[in-house]
Order: sequence, then structure tokens, then C-alpha cells
Amino acid sequence: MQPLKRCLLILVYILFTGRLGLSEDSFLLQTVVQALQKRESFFAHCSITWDAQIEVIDYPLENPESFLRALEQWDRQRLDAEITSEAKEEFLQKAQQTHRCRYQTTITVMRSESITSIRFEEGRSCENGYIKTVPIYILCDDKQGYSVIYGTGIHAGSDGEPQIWVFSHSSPVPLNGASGTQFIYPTDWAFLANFSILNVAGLNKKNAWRIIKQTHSEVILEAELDGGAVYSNPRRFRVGLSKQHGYAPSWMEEYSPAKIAANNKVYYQSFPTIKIKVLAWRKVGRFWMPQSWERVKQLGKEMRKAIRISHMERRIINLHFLNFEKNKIKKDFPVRTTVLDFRLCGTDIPYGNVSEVAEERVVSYRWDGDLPSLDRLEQMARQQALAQRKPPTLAFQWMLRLVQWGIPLLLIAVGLYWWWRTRRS
Amino acid sequence: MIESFLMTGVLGVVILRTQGRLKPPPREACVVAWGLTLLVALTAAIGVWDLINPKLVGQTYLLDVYSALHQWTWIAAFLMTNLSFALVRSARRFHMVVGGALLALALLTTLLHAAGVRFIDYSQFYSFRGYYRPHGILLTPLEAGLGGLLGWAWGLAWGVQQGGRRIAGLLLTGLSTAVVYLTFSRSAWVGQGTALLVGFLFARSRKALWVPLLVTLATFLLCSVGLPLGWQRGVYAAQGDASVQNRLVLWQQFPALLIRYPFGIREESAHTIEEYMAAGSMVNFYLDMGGQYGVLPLVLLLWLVSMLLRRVWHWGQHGMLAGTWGLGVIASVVCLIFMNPSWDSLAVALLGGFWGMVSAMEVKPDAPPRLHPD
Repeated sequence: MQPLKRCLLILVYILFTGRLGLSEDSFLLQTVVQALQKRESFFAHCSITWDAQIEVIDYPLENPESFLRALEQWDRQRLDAEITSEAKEEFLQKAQQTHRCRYQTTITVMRSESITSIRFEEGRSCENGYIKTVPIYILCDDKQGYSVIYGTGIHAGSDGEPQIWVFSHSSPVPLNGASGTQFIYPTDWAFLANFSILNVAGLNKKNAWRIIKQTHSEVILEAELDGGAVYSNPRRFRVGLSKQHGYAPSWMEEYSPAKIAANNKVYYQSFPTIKIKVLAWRKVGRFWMPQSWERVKQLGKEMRKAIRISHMERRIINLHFLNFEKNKIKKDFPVRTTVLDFRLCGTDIPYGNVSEVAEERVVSYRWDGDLPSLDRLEQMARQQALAQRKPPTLAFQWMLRLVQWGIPLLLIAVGLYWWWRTRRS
Repeated sequence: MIESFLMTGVLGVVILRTQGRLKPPPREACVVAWGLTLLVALTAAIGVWDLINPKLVGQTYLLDVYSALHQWTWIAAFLMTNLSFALVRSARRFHMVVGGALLALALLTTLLHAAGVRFIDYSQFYSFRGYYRPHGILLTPLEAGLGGLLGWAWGLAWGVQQGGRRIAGLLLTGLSTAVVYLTFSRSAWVGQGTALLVGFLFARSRKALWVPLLVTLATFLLCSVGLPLGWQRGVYAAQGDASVQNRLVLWQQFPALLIRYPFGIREESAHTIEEYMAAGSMVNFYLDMGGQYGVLPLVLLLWLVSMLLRRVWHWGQHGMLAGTWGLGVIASVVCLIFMNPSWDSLAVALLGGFWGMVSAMEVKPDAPPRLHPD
């Protein structure tokens, strides 16, 4: 009986894991996955408030004259406006200076079951510029695979009514209404909301992560993403998991490609585009989370001997408040708010590329308190397409009605005739 | 109300024909069968074209024609094959070849889709934890799962025969089971599981059925080992899966809707847009019939289905070949509790055609063979 029981257990194990044995690395990876999953579940019902100090630096243009020439060439193609010589001079002057902008914002994360919301508030002062105060509200349901973004100014123009945009994945979203470059990326969620970093950004696929190094204090994992839902280009992620802190991520680096060869081989930049580092920890129950962390984003070019950074954004984010009361995530956006639903456009559209999607796949409706299912959305898209088309002529409508009713009427008539004939015979 | 009465009438004709109370002369049956074939072919062609190039179809009046015709596709296909398999030899051959080829194409493209080969620029992706659920030339993985069930029944019916057909049948059984598994369509899984259990009962009186049934089990087991994620999706159904919750909520609303709209919900009669939208999206073939056309068509549809099931049970108990084909009816009848393939004209044509073919098979176990659907 005992061997039979053992065989059965092995069979069940193979059936559910799809493998016969585990190597040392696979075993460690399994441990990490389980630890991070437990940590994610522990923080499943909480609200976290972060204070974020943000500094954006735009460095002087490397070659402002050539940029100006390109601008002039583009300007010549426009008939309605031209760049004045004063404007050119001002531009050249500004392009040779470093521009700094500092502001602070409060980020509130609320987690309830699978839905997580993030709310940004109070964008404030900025040197040499102006940051508009725009509340943005994001809902994300990773299990159902959608994200909802709500706010004014981002989509509808600064004076327009707020809109709700719905995506079929966790799309990167702007941190404030005026920002063209400052986004919250899915990897940020791992620090803001204590999600398992192994699941974000579509990196939960089997064998996506591999262990590249292990020391007494940390495990370093690496994964590559070949573009797709969130990123238009391939990305390489490296993450350091602190053993002392229950495998919580202590740093993360995201690398952008420097070059993609003809054979699709990707050569990555030597410096990370995004680097996140935990500066201080806080223990909550059995689990650790960041008390303070730094996030640096750099855009630049790799020269032969040096790296030229053109844009840098640094965020210092401090934990302000953590509350474990079970709170229900608010989805109560104002009823009848305009919704633009992009879920039928697939998972390949990043936030910034919505203008490129086929118009007929974007479904527009009014918010009535909940999201329609995908099947229902498909029906709404069909109805929208029918409504937007030129209506058929009256004669054609009559012909259609004739076909719609004529076919069943004919079948019924034939059936009755056959029935009468059968009974008579 | 008119649509409700028309659907009632047509379902009544189908039931009378299935009961053998309508005995048309072969020439008249031939005209009707070919006429219905044209209708089904037109609707299915527009449906597939819409999938391949939705923009073009959307810009023309073809979409209006499709909207007017598609609701009759499955019944037209049912009557078409019923008449042709019983009475019209030329149409029977045509339906066997075209139906078989389309089914094989649907299965093959689904398998290729699973391997990453795309034929259509799909507007919507169905995925589960990073796995893209394949559906080939059919609209969604649900329809692909239904196609897999029909292919499976075809494989079983050939698998119990001799010679080349047996080998081809066993191969088809395995491939179709793989398709059912790979789509991760739980409705198709439940359908196949139920039919498999009934199949084991039938195998007591038809020993040759054991081999294809074991091939089915072995394939499912192999797929489970190779891609255990499918079972996690099965478990997810009980862990608050939104698609399951959505179905349950809509089904709970159904009795109230039926009482409020005994002749079905139409755009002009619906009080709210939500009620109108609920009518066609219960994700249940039978409830959608009730929601869209009212009480009478629902009752007649259930009557037709129970009649088919009784026959299949009877054939299976007597070890008849028709009982083996009928396992496809059992699987699809169960599968349709959790889905509605009406928006996919190809899937619905294959389903209606399959039911029509089985309904035309011999009733009495001791009667001389009248037709050979295989």
C-alpha cells in the first residue's frame, strides 16, 4: 500500500508542477516566489501613504544648433506659424542651461483583494516651470488584468471634464497632468504597493527569471522582456532580494537597449534607465517593506568613453502612513463620466500610443458604476460600429426585414405543408 | 414578439422533423436542403471575413445582412444536414466533405495558434497567467473548445471502425482532445468529461469504444503534465474568477427577466440598456434563447435537446455507431450551459450541422441501416 501511495503522490506532483525534479537554483527560486507571494498577500488589505520629493533635471543640449536647424526645417513645412528670431535666441539660451524642477506629491496606495488604487495629490512648486495640481486616480486589477485611470487634464485637456481610460494591462501612467516623462511604471508597484516583483510587467511567465548571483546577504535575479504590453522596446531587469529582509527587493535596475542587431540580438546600455534602491526598512508583522527609497531615472547616450545624461529624474519616497484596516477600494467615479475603453485593442498598446489604435476598437460609453465584461464590450463595439455607419437606405432596410422574417416564415410554411402532406398520406 | 413567434415556429418544425412527423418528398427536401446550404454558407462566409478583415466588412452593408441572418444559422444548419443525411445523397456528400474540412481547418489552426502561428490579426487576446489561449480561425477559445468536442466525436466514430479509418480516427481523437485542453475552455472540459463518463458506460456494449476513450484520457493526461497551468485555471473558477462570477450574477437575474419579458428582450421593448445587453450575453446558449426570444422558444429548445439526448442514450445502450457520434451531442449540450457560440457563425454552423446529422441517424437498433453518416 505504501509504495502505491508514494507513486500516487509523485504522479500528483508531476501533474501539478510539470517537472520531475528541482535543481538547487530552481529550489531557491521557488522559495523566493513563495516568500514574495506571501509578502504580497500580507499587504493585500492596507492603505499606504508615501511622501515623494521629486527633482527633474534637464541638462544642456549637446548640440543645440543642429537641434535648432531641425526645428527650422520642420517649421518651414508649416504655413500657419513661424519661429521668430527672438524665439530662436531664447531657445538657444535656454538649451545651454541646466533646468531643474522640484516638487513634492503625496501618493496614496489602497489595496483591497486584487484591486489596488493609487491616488496622486498636490503637485506643487517648480523652479523655471509650472506643475498643475491634477488628481489622478488609478485602479489596477492584476488578476483580471486591467487598469483604470481617472483624472482631468491628462486626457481631456486642462480645462476639460475628467475622463476614465481603461486598459487591458497595468499601463505606465503619468505621475502628474503636465508630465511627459514622469511615469509610474509597473516595477514601481513592487515598492509602492508591495507587489511581488516577479509578477509585474508581464514577467510572471514561466522561466522568465533566473538567478545570476547569490551572496550571504542577497539573491540577484535577472529577467528580460521582449517589448509588448508595457514597454515598446526590450528591457532587462535586475533585482536584488535581501535575505535579511525575507527576500524583499532591496534594489532594482532596468536597462534599455543601446542597439538591436539585425539578428534581433539586443545590446543593452551599460547604465540603468531606472534604478531603485531601498534606503531604510520597516518591519511590519513578519514582513519587511521600504521605509524610504530612492528612484532615479536617467535618459542618455552611451559615448565611446563616457555616458552623456540628458535627463534625470530623482524621487525620494518616504513612508508617511500605513494602515491595515480593511478598506474597500473606491470605484465611485462620478456616474456618467465619459469612459474610453481600450481593452479590445489588445495588450500591446502602451499608455502613450493610444492615438495609434484603430478607432473602431476603442469603445466609448458613460460610467455607470462598473466595468462591462469583455464579451459585453465586444457587443458594444459592434453596436457602436453600426451606429457610426451611414444608415442603410429605406429600401435596403425593408429588404433586410424581409430576409429576417421571410426565411423563418418560409421554413414554417414549408414545415406546415409537409406536415399536412404526411398526415394526409 | 414577432421574433419570438417566428423562433417558436421554426423550432416546432425542427422538432416535428426530428420526430419523423414531417416526411418530405426527396425532390422538395433537396431544394430546401440546398437553399439552406446557401444561406448557411453566406452567413458563415461573412462571419469569417469579418474576423479576418473587420474594417472592410464593417464599412459595407454585409454586416447588416449578417445581423439579419446570423440568428437563424444554427437552425438552418440543423435542418440542412437533417434533410440531406436522411434524404438527399448529393447534399450529404457535400456537407460531409465541406463540414469535415472546415472542422479539420478549425482544429489545425487552433493547434498552430497554440504554437504561436497567427493567421488573423486578432483584436482580442485571451490569456491566463501569461499563456495565450489559442482559437485559430474561430472567434474565441470557447468556440475553439466546442470545435474540439465536435472533432473529438468524429474521431471516436472513426476510431471504433476498422482499417485506415481507425488509425485516422484515433489520431483525430488525440488531436481534438489536445485542442480541447489547450484552449483552457472549462466549458469544453466539463462537456468532454461528461461525455467521457457516458462513453465508458456505452463501451460496455461496444467494446471497440474503449481504445479511443483511453486515447482521450491519455492525451488529456499528457497535456496536463506538459502544461499543468490549465488545471490552475480550473481551480481559479472556484477562487473568485470574474468570468464565473459574472455568469452567476446574470443567471440569477434570468428568472426575473423572463417574467418581465415573456416574449424576449428586444431593443425597442427593453426598459434599460442593461436589460437589453443582458439578453444576449448570459454566456449560456439556452438562457440566451430565453432572454432573446422568450419562454416558448426556450421550452422548445430544451425539448429538442432532451429528445436528442434520449436518442443518443438509447443508441449508446444498444451499442450502435450513432451512439458514438452522439457523444459529441452530449459533450456540446453540456458545454453550451457555459457558453453561447452565436456570434461565431462558423462554430454555430458546425454545431447545428452536427446536431442535425445526429438527429437524422437511425432510431431503431434492429432496423436495417438506412444511412451511413460516416
